[in-house]
Amino acid sequence: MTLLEGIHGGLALALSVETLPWLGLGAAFGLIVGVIPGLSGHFAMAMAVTFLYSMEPASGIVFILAAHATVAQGGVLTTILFSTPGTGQNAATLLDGPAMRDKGEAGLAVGAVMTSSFLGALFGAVALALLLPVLREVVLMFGPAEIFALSMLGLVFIAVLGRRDLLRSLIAGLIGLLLAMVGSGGAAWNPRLSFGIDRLMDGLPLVPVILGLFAVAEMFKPWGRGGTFAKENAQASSFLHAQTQMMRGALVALKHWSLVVRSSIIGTIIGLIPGLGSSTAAFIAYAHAKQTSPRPETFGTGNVEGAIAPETANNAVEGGALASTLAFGIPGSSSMAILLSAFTILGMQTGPVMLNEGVDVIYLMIFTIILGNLIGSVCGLFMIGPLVRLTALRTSLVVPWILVLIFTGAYAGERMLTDIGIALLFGVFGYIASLLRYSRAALLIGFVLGEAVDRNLNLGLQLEGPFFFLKGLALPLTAVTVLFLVWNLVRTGGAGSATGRTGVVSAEQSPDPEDRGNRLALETLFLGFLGVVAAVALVSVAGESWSTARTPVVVLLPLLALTAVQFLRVRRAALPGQTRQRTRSALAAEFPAFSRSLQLLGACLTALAAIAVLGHYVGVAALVFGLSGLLGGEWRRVALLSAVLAAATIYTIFEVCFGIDMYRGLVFRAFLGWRDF
Amino acid sequence: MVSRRQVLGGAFLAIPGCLLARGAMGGAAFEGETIRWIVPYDTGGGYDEYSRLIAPVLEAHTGARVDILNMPGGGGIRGAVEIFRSPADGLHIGIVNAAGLMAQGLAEPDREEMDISRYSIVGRVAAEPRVLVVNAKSDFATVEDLKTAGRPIVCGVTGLGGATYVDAIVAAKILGLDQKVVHGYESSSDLRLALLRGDIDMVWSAYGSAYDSMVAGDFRAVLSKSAAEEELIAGLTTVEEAAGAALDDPQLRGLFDAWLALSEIGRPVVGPPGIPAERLDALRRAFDATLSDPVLLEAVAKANRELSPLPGVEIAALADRFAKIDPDTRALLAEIVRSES
Repeated sequence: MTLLEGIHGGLALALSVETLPWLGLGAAFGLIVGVIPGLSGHFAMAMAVTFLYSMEPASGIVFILAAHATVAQGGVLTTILFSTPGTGQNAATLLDGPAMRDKGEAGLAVGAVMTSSFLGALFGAVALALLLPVLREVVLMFGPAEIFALSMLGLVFIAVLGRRDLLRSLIAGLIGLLLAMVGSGGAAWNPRLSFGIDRLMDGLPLVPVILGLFAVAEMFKPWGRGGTFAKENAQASSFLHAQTQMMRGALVALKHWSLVVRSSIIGTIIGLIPGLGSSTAAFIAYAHAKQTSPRPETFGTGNVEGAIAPETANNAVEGGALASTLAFGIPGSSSMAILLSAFTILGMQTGPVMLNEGVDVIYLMIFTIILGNLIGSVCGLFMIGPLVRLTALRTSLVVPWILVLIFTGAYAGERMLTDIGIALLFGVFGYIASLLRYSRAALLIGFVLGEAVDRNLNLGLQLEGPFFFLKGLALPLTAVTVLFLVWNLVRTGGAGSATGRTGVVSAEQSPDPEDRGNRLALETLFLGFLGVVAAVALVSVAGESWSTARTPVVVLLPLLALTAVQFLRVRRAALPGQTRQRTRSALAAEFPAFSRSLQLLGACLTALAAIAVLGHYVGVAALVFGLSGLLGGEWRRVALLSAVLAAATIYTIFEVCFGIDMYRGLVFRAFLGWRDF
Repeated sequence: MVSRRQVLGGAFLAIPGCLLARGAMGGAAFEGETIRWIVPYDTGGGYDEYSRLIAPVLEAHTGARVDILNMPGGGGIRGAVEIFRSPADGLHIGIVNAAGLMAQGLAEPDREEMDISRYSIVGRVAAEPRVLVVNAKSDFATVEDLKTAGRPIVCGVTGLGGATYVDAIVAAKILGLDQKVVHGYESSSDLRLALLRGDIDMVWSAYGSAYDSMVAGDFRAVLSKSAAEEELIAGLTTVEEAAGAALDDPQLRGLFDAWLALSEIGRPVVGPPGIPAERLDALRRAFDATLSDPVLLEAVAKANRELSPLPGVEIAALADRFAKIDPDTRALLAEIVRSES
């Protein structure tokens, strides 16, 4: 089949009457899955594949691919409007998206990201098309040495993210790396750092960790603040205002065309490499945007570039990710594994057969990505109107509902109750980290890349010996990484002394001496806790074989050292006895924000216990009623209605539509005959 | 004299009767209920595919709705534990990686979930042949080539103690191969990519996983674990044939037999201990009927897979055989699983 025949055939199939409706349906489905926190592209594909058994091949392919393609676009809506990333890919957008909402620019943000998402997907799809003739060679270019070098480059971006406070960013990154070491890793099946907890044997699950760090953590601030969910800005929540802004947003995205192209390149390359994932692409694009921006200090306060870059990259990943799947039938990610099984079910074969004779199918997929994203972007723009109205509601109504969705999303992923607990744990951690200016982005990059670094280091050493990273394609990549690191360290050192190094707690961070004092006390406790955890971890891996212990030790030693240094800095800046005194005051409920945060946490933990014993629906209803009615000051009747409505909505969406059974509770399970003990 | 009307009437009744009989075969016991079928792997894997192909046909034979639940984790252990703890009402079943369970049971003898004989065994879907594959561009065509290479052959495995590792170690021991094991690959997909790149020389793979690459001419199968009839590997040399006289050694023979027994059991469909006899029987009958249903066979063929069903009773016998291997062989196998050798 010639190229032209393939393009023509693919386009005709994509636009045909039989398949176009499925394309639209898939895109809409993906959008909805994306909106719900905790449900990812993998989930959308897993759900979609169950329908495939009775579909025509073309319809099946477009449905499942379109569903996967639009998940990030659904997720970005909740990220910007509700500070709740729908998926890991959207976590990077949390850094600037909600800040734009609080400035009254939610419409602008959504318009910009929907446009740039589409452009990113287009770029990725076209790149795939152009690479087709050399696809097999391109995929085979990346072996352990190359992936190790690229992962290290990604880690070095941490230096970029935290240029203003390198020490804190490095600590955050190292914590992320340490978390990645939990579970069976490196050489042996021997679990390390899991302390006998079964759930941790395969490592910390990504989705609950992200939900905790970036979704749960974001609920504490509005809850502590009260008022409306989006900061007071009557005009911002108006439907008309949002619509006009969206148009402006689209134009802004086009204005930043150079950033869009660069982010697309980042996304496509990372998509090509198996095992790195779209959240990696998003964070690296964000770091790159910050690095190359004329005003990097505005990142984090609502700079639209900080939203455009990650969302472009995570959509560009789609095209690249298909590469190894199509070229060799080797999936680059778990989502691609599902796609591969879809091919099998539909009786299609990948590899040279598809590359030579199935060109029309490949172009069908390329056009599906493009059209699916277009439909997703347009639908997303329409969804913003009603959704933005919701942000004008009181936090006492909105926060409980978001928490219910988070709880459900955390459980639904792998049907494990412990995942909700993990999300809560990381929620507290993420909140404290954000208060103390420890970059969660750096932490997530460390977490996501840590496993890739460890595994490829291990493989590289076995295959090529100690200097494996200087061989082949890895050599130029390693050189780039080292140069990049050195250049950034020099810049930071210079900039720091030039602007009069801001000190441990800078004036901009907290003009109020009380607040500064509190932060220092909190940071003292935080660093103390961190030091203890790191020491325990070090002791626990000390007895393991070298290949198991190698990477954790390499991470833990600098972590302990830097924690100690930062601890001393904080102690020096704080007044003597301050920590103890302020801790006592906090526990005596003299700080309202702290008390409210503690209440929120308490309510969540109680709800988790209720879920464990009495089942998911009782637990979430109790959470909504408790938060809205008892703690939030809403009328009891309103709170009760909200609680029942929340439980009913979860039931409809998850059990009826998605067919996922929520946890029934130990009591009910015992009644049914389960042997939980 | 039977009138024409009676004959036609009889025929008329026979058709719905046949359809009803199909459902009633194992079915009356499950009519209107929901069967929960657990797959201990992520969506998209081979056994997930088998399950999804089987589910609608099983629905027809039981009258129940079959819901598939993916519960990945711990190399299949998590799903097995879930099945073990489920209510024993015949409505909670699933596929387990029996070989993996039993191997793990050697390392952790106290955990009852690892003892396959305790489960209520419904039947086996397939026991995928395992093949040793090399890159088609390499010079290795037979085992002799591997033995006379003049350097250690690099064999890739996922984790120490896992299926690919056990296969690699046991085979190398029996065949006397000079082998270097490279471990830490995340999945069989990564292993295949490594083989394509030439980072490793060979890998033990399930036939179905390597099929596409073999058809594409990227891989070549050199050895088959046991005699197979599948399309691309029929007549391929088996480990037993290649080992020849080496298997006269009783220790190696014992190891070989135990190793084969593990893979013959494959991944059966099981339920928790204690399912009432009539329910289990009904389930087994429905399952057997499902696996010989032409509708299923056609769907499976279209997906380039093959079934090799085995009734539950026979699998139980296999499990027994494995449980009775002599202590020395058991200790040796346990050592290998714990990656101490």
